[in-house]
Amino acid sequence: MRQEKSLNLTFSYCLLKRSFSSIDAELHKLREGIERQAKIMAQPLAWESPFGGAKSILYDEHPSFLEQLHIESEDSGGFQVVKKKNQQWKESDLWDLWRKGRKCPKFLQNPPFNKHKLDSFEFWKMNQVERDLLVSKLRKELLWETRRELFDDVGRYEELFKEKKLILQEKYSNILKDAKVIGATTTGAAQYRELLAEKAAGVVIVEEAGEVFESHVLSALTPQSKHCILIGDHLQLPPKAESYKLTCSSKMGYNIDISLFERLILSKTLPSTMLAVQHRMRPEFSEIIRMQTYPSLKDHHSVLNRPNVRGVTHNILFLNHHVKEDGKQSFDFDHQKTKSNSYEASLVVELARFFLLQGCK
Amino acid sequence: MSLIITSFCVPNFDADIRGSMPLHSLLFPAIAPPTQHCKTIDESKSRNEVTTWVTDMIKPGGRHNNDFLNFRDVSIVPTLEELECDKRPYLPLYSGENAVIIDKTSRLLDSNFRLLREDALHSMRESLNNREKVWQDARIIGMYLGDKRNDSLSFVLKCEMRVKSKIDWERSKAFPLGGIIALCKDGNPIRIGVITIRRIEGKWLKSRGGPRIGISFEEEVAFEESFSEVAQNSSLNESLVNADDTNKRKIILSNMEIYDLIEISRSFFSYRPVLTSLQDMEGVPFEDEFVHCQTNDWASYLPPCVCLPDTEHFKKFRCNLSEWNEREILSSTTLDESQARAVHHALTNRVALVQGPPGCGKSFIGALLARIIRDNSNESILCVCYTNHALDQFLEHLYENGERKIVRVGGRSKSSLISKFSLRELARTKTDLGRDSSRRIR
Repeated sequence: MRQEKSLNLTFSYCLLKRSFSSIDAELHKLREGIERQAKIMAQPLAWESPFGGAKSILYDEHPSFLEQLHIESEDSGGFQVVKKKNQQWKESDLWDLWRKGRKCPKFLQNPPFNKHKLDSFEFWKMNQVERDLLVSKLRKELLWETRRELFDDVGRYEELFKEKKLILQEKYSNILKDAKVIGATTTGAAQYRELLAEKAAGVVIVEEAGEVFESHVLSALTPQSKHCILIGDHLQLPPKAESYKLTCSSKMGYNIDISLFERLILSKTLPSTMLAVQHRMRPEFSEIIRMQTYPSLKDHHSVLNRPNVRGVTHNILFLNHHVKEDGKQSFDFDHQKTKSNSYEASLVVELARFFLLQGCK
Repeated sequence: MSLIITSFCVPNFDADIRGSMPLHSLLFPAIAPPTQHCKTIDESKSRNEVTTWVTDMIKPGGRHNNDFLNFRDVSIVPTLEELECDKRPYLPLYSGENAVIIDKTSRLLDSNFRLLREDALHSMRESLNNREKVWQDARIIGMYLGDKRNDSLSFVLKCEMRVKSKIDWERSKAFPLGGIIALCKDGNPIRIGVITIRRIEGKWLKSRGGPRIGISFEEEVAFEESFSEVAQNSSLNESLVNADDTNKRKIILSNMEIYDLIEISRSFFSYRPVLTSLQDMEGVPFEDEFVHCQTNDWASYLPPCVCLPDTEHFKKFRCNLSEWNEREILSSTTLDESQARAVHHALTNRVALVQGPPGCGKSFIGALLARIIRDNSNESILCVCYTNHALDQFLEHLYENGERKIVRVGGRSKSSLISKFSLRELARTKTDLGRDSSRRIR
């Protein structure tokens, strides 16, 4: 029975893997196509190009303009117009001139090399701005087709990607199925909300609950949650808001930095409990927070009768200095807002060294 | 869940008028009654007189193209019009004075959504005005299909580094994925984009001449415009990369569509999933407690008598939850009185609140509770922490006590022990196992 199950599991993984690789292959193909199209779109408008150039679009959309770029290859006497190095004047040369905002060369304006008096036409009368506008219009017309194809491909790509994600999700939820303890940060829990909802963990334990916005806790819970344990301390740091006006201290009444934990404790209609014995600080330290915040705080016996700190006269010392923070560097290109105080840093290093030399561990 | 909106009419004041009188008595008799939970504020906090703005009373909807009565209609990424709007947004007051939704459950979601979103938007508006994080000569030079994490087409945006300075891109917090940027022309912001690609090894950020990033636009107009710029800019950009002469660069740049790029939010990525899930939520879990602040008659999944862990501290003590005997548990375990009470409280309340001053063993109690629940029931446990560090510690603690069925969701574990249990890592190794065994079968 067990073997059958594991076989099944292997089979489903194989299946997953196969569909995965076939999707990947198709994704790769689409990707190449899209990248090629994107490249085409990125090219400047050439006179002629395999993807269609100015000539073809003029031919389709503005035949009268195309006529005005026309050069008779020979006159009746068999003469050709050439530029330097005996190269023949071509329509593309004329197009380049036009693009640069030049006038039509005099010798081309009249018969025998052209039937029309080119300069008198609207096409050559355009100023640079109008020409640029026309070019960008032509581009757009030309790209319309490519663009449609591109969007079709992108749409298909997105669909496939979704499929791939679903398979991945399936794989993930297979793994989560066996899990008994799932850990997530508040952001992670929101990110994987669907997956966690599927897993439907019955018990949610929130640590540091006093430091978390209510919305973060709410988004980590699912309708299947049966039991919620919030552990924290609303008398320590509140959730950190970016906007001062939303906090309690602004007195504007929005109070975003009242955590769910604090709100429920302050309601006084819900039972709560408080830990009362501290195992961390020597009594001189805990006395300070007892006076300020926790009148009922007790000291565990393990913190009593600790030996005095070596090398100093008191076990609590306050150290004051007046050296300011390092100035902002001449340019802070990364726009980092971090502050530093190298004096204070070296002071701490020296102090640590001092205590080590005193034999402190 | 439907929203019930109270009908009240608010005069449209031109400017912000600040009044210290309680507004509900003056102007708005028809406003929904304040929520119960809002009445009690900590003594020290209620002593501070709260002053509300008259404009707080203007109900949501119609200020700009992303202001709606129903918070579920609001697009999470802000629109440009929204960021530039000079009217104060509608923000629900803690007191409930300006509530527009009568149903308390919906209102709770609405308030949380609007306040959290405003927390993100407020700093965006400021950065848009202060112009601190500005990158010059930003231009859209191409399109790129994102890699594994992105499923859509992004525009490639390149900025200029005028000053020769070295940025440590591995450490830099500039251009985070999911961050928000604004493109400005002649000092006016014209497009808002979301950062979708920031690849370092693949040279996106480190590329020559200045960082390159992938961005996507939510608004259709912005998308269309960027689309047409790609063609114009991309070929010129190539010649720009090869041009060393400053004057030549200037000329080339003047032919491109260039913008000033402002990073208006580097933290938006952390707000977004929470906001999305608030919009997706159909109700509030633990409604009795969270919305009405009332206890719930709870049919616990735990047996009436739970067994504590088999260690020297707890000695498999069998602890009767329904007939609580404090003296017995204190004499048989090393728990102190407050810890024992916390354990009992946490195991007998559907929503348990354990407050712990510094050094009192909050994480110890958390891990102990997790173990007790694991040993005495079939339920799985989701543990949520604010910081990665605290989460790793919690999971490490459980690991040391023999727990192996751990999965850590979301990356960024700094603990070598716990990173083995990250979902992505497990997904990788499990597939490999599958391949191995399939070979064996053949």
